[in-house]
Amino acid sequence: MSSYFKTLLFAALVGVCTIIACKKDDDTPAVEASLYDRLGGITAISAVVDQFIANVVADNTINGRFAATVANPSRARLLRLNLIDQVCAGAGGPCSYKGMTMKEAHTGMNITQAEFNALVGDLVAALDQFNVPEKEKNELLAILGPMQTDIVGQ
Amino acid sequence: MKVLKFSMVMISAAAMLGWLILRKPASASDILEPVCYTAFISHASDPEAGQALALAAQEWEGVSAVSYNAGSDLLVIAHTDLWTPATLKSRLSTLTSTPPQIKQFTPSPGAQCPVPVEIVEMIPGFLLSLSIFSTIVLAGLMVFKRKKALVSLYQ
Repeated sequence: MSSYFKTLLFAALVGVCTIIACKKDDDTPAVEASLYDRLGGITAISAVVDQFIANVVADNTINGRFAATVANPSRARLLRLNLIDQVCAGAGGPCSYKGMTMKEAHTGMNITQAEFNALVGDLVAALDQFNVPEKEKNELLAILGPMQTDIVGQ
Repeated sequence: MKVLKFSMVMISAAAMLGWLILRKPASASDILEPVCYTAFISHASDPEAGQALALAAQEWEGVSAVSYNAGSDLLVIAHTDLWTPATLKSRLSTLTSTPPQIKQFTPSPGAQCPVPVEIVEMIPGFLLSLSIFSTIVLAGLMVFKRKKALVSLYQ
């Protein structure tokens, strides 16, 4: 067999293998990206958290709770990073939350249901401002929702 | 000399252990630029004017978020170190007839941590530095002793 035919046979073999490999890829069901990726990664999460904190500070219903924190830039920075890490880790991102547990952080604060609802309202407003789709918004709220029992009435 | 070496080993080990316990694990948020929040009483003539002020501020470099609440008349700006409350105020003043006023929040009367957050945040870095320093001192002492032994051998 001439070298020309050998090369042709090899090329045909490579072509068949490529087609089979592509076909197999097409058949594999697509794995849905994590909520972290769908939200847009750390930059998008930090933008939403910045907006959320700004909304909370402008909201007279609850800004008294954050007065001491906002008045001190170091404490405000820590709150922001903790919130970003918490949302990022909850959404399956490469972050580690090392702040206090929600129960520890809110014990003795006597936060009312109305205050909690106002906080959720400010978060939803921030998510809406960045046009976060309904599916992702609900998934995120479902992750944060169970924290309510550790925050309200402690 | 033995006591000094033993102390250095103990300090190095204790500081390293402390650093391992207190250090913050690597996180995607480590790359983010620090942000401060400044609140203003906008003195806007109507909600539309306040909203227009917020939209204008949103476009400035170094501003990551702006929120205007018509109910409280508060305009809150999240910004990087490019801005200070004073520079923000002067820039906002150029956009409105009534200059906005910086809102001073009164700290809550409840118990607060007596140690400033800045100090608490510096502790892991200090422990790591202490551990490295005592290890270097220990290594220096060992090299010094070996050199001394070699010199006495040749004499």
